[in-house]
Amino acid sequence: MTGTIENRTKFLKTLFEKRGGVELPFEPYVPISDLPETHLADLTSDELLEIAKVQSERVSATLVETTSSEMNEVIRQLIEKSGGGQVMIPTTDEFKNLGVNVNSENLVKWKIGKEFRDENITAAQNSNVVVAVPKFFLAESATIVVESEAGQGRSLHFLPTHYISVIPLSRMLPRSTQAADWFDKNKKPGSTIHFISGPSNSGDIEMQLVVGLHGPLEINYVIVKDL
Amino acid sequence: MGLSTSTKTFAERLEESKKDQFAKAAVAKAQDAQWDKRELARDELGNWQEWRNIAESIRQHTLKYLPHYLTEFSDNVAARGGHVFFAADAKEANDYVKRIVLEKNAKKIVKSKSMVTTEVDIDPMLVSLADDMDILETDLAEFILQVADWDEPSHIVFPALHKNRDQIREIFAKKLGYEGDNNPVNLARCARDTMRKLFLKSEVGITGCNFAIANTGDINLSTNEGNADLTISIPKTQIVLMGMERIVPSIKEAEILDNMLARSAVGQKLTTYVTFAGQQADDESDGPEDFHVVIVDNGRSNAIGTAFEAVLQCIRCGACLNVCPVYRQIGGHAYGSIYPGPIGSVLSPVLGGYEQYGDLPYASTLCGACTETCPVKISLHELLIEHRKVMEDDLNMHHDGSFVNFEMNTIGRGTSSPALFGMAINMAHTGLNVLPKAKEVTVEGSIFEYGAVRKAPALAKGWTDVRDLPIAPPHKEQFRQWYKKHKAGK
Amino acid sequence: MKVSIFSTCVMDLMFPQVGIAMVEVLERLGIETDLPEGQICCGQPTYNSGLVKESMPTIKNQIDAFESSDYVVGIAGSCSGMFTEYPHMFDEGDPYKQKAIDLANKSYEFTQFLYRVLGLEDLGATFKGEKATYHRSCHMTRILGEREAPFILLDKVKGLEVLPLPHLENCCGFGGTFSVKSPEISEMMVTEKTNDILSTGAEILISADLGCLMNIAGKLNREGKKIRVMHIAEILNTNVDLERIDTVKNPEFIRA
Repeated sequence: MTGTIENRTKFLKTLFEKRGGVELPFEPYVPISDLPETHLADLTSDELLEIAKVQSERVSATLVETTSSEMNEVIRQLIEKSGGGQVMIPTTDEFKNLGVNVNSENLVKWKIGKEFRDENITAAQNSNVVVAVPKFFLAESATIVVESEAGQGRSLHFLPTHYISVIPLSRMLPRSTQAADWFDKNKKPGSTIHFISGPSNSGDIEMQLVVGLHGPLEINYVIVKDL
Repeated sequence: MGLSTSTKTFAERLEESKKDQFAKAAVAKAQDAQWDKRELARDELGNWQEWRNIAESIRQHTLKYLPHYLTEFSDNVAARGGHVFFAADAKEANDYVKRIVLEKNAKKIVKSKSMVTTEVDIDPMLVSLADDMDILETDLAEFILQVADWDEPSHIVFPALHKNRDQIREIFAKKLGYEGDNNPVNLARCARDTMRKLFLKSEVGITGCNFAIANTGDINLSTNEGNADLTISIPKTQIVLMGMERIVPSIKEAEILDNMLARSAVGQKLTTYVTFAGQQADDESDGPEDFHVVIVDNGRSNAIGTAFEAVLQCIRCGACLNVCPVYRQIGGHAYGSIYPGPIGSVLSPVLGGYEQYGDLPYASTLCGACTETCPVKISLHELLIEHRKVMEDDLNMHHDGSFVNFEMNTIGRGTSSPALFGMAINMAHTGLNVLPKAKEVTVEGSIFEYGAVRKAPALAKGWTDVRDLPIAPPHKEQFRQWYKKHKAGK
Repeated sequence: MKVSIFSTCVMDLMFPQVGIAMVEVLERLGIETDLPEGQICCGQPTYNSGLVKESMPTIKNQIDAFESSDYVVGIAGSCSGMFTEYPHMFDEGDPYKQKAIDLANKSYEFTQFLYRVLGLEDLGATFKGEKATYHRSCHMTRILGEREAPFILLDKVKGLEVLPLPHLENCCGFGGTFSVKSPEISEMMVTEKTNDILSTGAEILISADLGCLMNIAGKLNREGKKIRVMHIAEILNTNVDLERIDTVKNPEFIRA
């Protein structure tokens, strides 16, 4: 598939003229400080987890700690607490690899294939709960970072009402800097990255914070300490 | 709407803003609440000044090589099958969006917050395309304004700040059949349900762009509500409108600026949703099959190569509005531009000219709070002086008319000439002493030791309309006379 | 130690008592003062209005006036702040650029000079237990960059209870010519400021900037409010107990 570009030459000529017709030989950006990399980078996993716990509360996310032997039961309980109903999960080997087993009678998967677009979106809309595994968990901002793939669409993270994120502790990073750095080097071309920090919210009415706008009304972080 | 939100003069808008006491109290409350949240968020991060330097360096670098990055970005979008349209002005941008919407024969359009779409006046154009056009502003504040018959925004981060919960309840009841109370949670649920139905049927999604990522062709969107994320997932066509300066080299710089933005705009570490997305990937089932980016100039290039270039560093955090003591009193609508407050006072004349926006640079005491708070170190108050200089010295547009200009020039002459100043000192007491005085001086201390003037003419009328004017001491009691005697005495 | 007094046009025209207080405080410390006659005005009123060309003679005159001074100590934070802007107003190669830099380097606002150069905190001032509040000058804080000196010096004034002012960071609405050219907005700002001041219950309002004081005091008087308004120099010059004045860190001079 090839795209198009229109009017670029004329547009850039205007910018060139505004600089008095001077062509600046390009030099890449050189960071002036390593503060982004060093901030929080020397903390231990325990210290970061403490920060994440405090921050999770501040962003109205519920954080529970568990182990790989208990996690599926924790997930089952959270689904029940959310009111049960249809549960969506991605099509991915990750669940199997990590031993995540979502026990629900009403399970749908995000299907792989363009022909399933409408079906997938509708399924996500009709799902009360979604369970997914993030790529990273950022301690400072209590953020899960998810990358879309064929088996895990964009709307999977936004349309269902309740979100359960099963987070291997080994995927915890200090902050957004490390995640951005990783994606700068390793992002799949064309993939979508979502940094999600808590349930959706808005301060647009009298600047009073209301939890739950367009995205999920509730989010649970299930930290699996031995994964 | 375009850039302008009103056809009235600044004085008329000011008069109107005085009438809406709720809006004024809302702004003051918002500023106070945001002050604490923002300062706390910055303190928690630590080393705030160093972060500002980093953010400034990123923005300045990008502006310096803007053509390079715009080229890289557009190449990357096109390589993935997307379409990039460079729009010199609002009309070109508008025509392009129209072209795409008509091509798709799209009737159901969802929009997530974008000031640029308002700037180029997309909404009336879309509405006019057919009788059954279904346009939805999905950001809660923008949704409220739309339902309220396309009311104008009064703040760049909290556009519906001027509306209280009762007004919103009334609007929802009238237009949406809402039957609940004025609790913001319930109002928000109503909005969510209404909008979710429309999202699921949407054909075209129009978004803004916090930052374009040059080296991947992705768009970075930063929201708390998640509406941008639905907009880039469900409709099959996505159109992005971006100001040409809203671009960064890579995701690494975007991440830094997203952190600065969240802490400065709303006192959060990050907004709830920070997303990097573009054209649908080959194996994705949702997301846009058809991806368009409209890169808009519309007067921004006027700043390039001038003292005003720094205004393009802006990341639209709104912190300057939140600290401005003038904005606090007069509110957003008084500025008559979709970009109000300090940033608006610098940017609006650049985009829209002095004829229409020449009042704005004067609506400031130059207190410097904006400069102090700006996360990307734009020296806003200095740029306001620069606008004044251009208007006075270069364009001879005398802000307050020829007589005030004459008085100001007289002050200029008087303060540069010892002889003239000496005369002023001699005459100050006599001159002021003959004016109508206050009967009683209640404020103790040296300020009103020689009396207070109630009414003064000419330039000083503006003073005495509001407050009393001290009377100067008689010549022999003035400081320099005292000092001469003091030195002689020693 | 020799200090040149930067009187400022407002003080010269209107408020000799403030200048007198500053001179008395400095001379009490054993400092020799002079008052360069050629000085008039820092140029802010016209410069900030955009009449930049027209302001240059005023600014050059000011630079010339202090050319041979060792230290320049000013009575107003915004005026001393203006001196820090002078270097940007001249191009490279203009002889005034270096002169402006020299002036900026040796120029201080009064409390800044006492605290930063002389290293003093307690000037021996004494009150009888009055409540006061301090209004911060925007230009002194943000342009001159002196945030601490006034608070530290006020803290050491005996018998004066300095109460915090709500919305300390908000401008009072003076802004030089803004106060006369935009009276409507200025009124809104000074009204909120006077309400904040009165809400503290303070008997004395203090500031280090005469523009702010004229503005706020003018409004308070218009409203018929009973309150005392004093410049910080007057505060520091009140009932001075010499015994309490800190040993000066600069050994160059002797206490009077």
